[in-house]
Amino acid sequence: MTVRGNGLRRLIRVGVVGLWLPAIALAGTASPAAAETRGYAISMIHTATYGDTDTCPAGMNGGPTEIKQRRLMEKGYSAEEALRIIANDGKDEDGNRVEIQAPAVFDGISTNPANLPSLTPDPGVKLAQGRFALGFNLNGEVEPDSFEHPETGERGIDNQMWRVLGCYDVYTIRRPVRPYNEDIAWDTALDSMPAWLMSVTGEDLDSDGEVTVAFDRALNVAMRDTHGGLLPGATYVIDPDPRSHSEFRGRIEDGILTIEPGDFSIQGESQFYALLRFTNTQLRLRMHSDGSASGIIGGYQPWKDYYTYLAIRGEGTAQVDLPAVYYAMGREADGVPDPVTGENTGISAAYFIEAIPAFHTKLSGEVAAVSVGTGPQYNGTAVHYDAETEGQ
Amino acid sequence: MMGSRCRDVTVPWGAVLLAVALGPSAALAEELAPPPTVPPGLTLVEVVRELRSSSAQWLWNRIGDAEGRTLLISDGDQPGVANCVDDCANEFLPLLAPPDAKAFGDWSLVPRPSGKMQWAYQSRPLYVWSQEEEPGEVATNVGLTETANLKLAEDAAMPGELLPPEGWRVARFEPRASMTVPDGIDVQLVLSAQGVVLTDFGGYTLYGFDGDAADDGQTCSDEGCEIKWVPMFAPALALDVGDFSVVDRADGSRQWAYRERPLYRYSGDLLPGDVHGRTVDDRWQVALLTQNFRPSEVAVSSLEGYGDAMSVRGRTLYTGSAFQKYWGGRNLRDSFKISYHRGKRLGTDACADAGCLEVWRPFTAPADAVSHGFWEVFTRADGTRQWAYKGYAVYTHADDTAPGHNRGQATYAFASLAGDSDDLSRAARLADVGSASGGAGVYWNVAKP
Repeated sequence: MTVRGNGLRRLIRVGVVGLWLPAIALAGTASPAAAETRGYAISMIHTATYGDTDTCPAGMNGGPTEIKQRRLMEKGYSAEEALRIIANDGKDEDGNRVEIQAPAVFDGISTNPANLPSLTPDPGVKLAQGRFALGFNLNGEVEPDSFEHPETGERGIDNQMWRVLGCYDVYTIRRPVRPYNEDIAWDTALDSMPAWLMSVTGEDLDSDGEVTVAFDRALNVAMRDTHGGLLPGATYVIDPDPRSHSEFRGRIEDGILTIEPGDFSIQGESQFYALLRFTNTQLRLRMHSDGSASGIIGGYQPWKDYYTYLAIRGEGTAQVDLPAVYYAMGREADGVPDPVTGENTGISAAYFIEAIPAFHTKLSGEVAAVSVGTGPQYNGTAVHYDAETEGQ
Repeated sequence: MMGSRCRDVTVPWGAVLLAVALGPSAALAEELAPPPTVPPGLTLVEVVRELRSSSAQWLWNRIGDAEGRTLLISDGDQPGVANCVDDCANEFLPLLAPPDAKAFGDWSLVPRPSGKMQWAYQSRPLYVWSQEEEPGEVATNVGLTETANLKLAEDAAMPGELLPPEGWRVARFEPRASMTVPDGIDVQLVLSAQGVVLTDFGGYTLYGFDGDAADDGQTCSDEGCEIKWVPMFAPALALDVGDFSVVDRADGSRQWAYRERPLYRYSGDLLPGDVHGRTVDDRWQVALLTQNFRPSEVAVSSLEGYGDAMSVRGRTLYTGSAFQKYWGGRNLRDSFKISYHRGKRLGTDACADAGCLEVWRPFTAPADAVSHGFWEVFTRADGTRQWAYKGYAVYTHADDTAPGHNRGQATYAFASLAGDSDDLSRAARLADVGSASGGAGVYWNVAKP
């Protein structure tokens, strides 16, 4: 058992907005035996990538240039000609524009193939292999092709999302580098999307024991600090809409927070994740001495949710071949079979998640969770490499 | 002083208060109600400027016919006289009023050679241009042309080619233009108030007090100040202007009154357009000059944490739009502006199949319903009629079981990526209406006033 010695309650940080409310609440809950609820705001979330030299033995899928190059070569251009056209803003040597990707046409409507990927032949994708991937053993089995967690050594890791995406340049990375498309999507969405919240309730959160973990969406948007990350100790009002409330039984042991699997759902912003949801959700967060938490959340995610996120971003920033990913996601999906067709609708996935201390209130103004700790100096999009917060 | 023509508002809002207080008959109350913002059969439309991935910008409001088409006014007409006849009237169709139409406020009737009557707004006869194919495209083109030189952070939609010919202009909805008001007071269409309202120079709603300004209780004492209603002070040298007069306060300061009702701001209104004082104290009522049409039992409700939304019998109303790639803003004060013409193109197709209709219930319109103000009547594929608000068909959500629920808010229904012909056809159509380069679908949000 680990008891983190300094007693984080002493580090209660006074929120900028909720200056006096938490103090009043704490005055009434001073008993050391009483359950406490600590509040957090999610300062960063993105797919959990772990690229290394063994990830793509069959080769890489490249990025936007390689995707366009392949398409041009399928039209009969040589590799060199294709690169020249791409470098020439899509025009050939005579200045004529070359159609790199044909639109999808249905009912006389011409649209981006991302909207109707099933009308495009499968271009194929090189899958991530290798030994390691971040994530969870969702089905409880250790299969020949399942991954191993690079830090915990756990075997049987299911992460088919990584298998599909891991050999695109934009994903073959490792923290502190973040997938480019998700990084900018999150950074931009933060300023208009209601904040995502987490709370942990237990008898003594500085010690091992049973807890309750809840996720909610706020009514107010995230508040930034001067580094561009989230402001620790800010106050958020919990949206009472049950569609964004998920609750789990959990446990803290040796400073690691885990949960019993269940359903997770939270509404987001349509250019980011319109809806982030998992079944068989698992969580592994390290509770840091500064009051923040970081780690991985994952489960079976409806693969069309993620495909739609990519499609909205467009190939320019998603930096993947959308029809290829569409087909590969469908093929590699490994959970939540459709009761009628039997096709898997869910794909095993894992996301890095980082949370900083925050106050939560109900609509009435009643304090629901207190902010404990100062949080890291840098967080979210402002974060820089820090060995303590690196992975789990 | 601003404005050139005096407005003939038939009955002041203050009279309504007085009448209600005295317990008038229903007929009298109806007679004393503020006049409608536009006559039945005419529409109000917000003209917006679309940007690539930001919420569209509101430019101005215009008047439309029952289908929302752009209405034009002619420089060749004189006030109250329509000179567009014969060939001209074949291209520019006079907006004819029904036989029982009556003039009121800014709305007058102009005789045609045929003996029929034509609607005029602020004395200018109104016409529909026969060349306009999509309702509102002419007005939108005008708005885009006027703002073409704006330096914007991202690409804006380019105006189309169809612009009014020389001598013709779009009929904008400008209630301020026909009123004489003191400096510091404005007249605006306030959506949360559902009508044209007196505001201060910053756009904050003004309220009329049914009492004496010298005895309104809004003062300070040794114990401090409890000023909930902030007087609309008048300058020391101010003189009465039109229907506005200057009244004295107990402390010797001076205050504007409209038709003898002292005017105030409500301290709880934090932003222009707020109407939070509407239910605080019966003695203070929104200074409402005209009332927007609303279908029976429709109201503006306050969703806790989300702000105002339209509701019917307490149930939140929603609109579904073809997904557009916008950055954020869907949960903020005004939600996000979406173009009228995209809603019209979508019609009732946001929800068409049986599965969808189990969740989203069309807000049906009675057989005799006519378009009026921001409300239009759409016809569904099965022949039923459905109300549309600001160009978008309106629904309730099956999971909203109590007033204040908004279980359908911010719901993004992806179009099918594969499937049968109907699925693909729908995805293509949604992508087309929303100009979506990916992520075609329907985005549902509460119907903001």
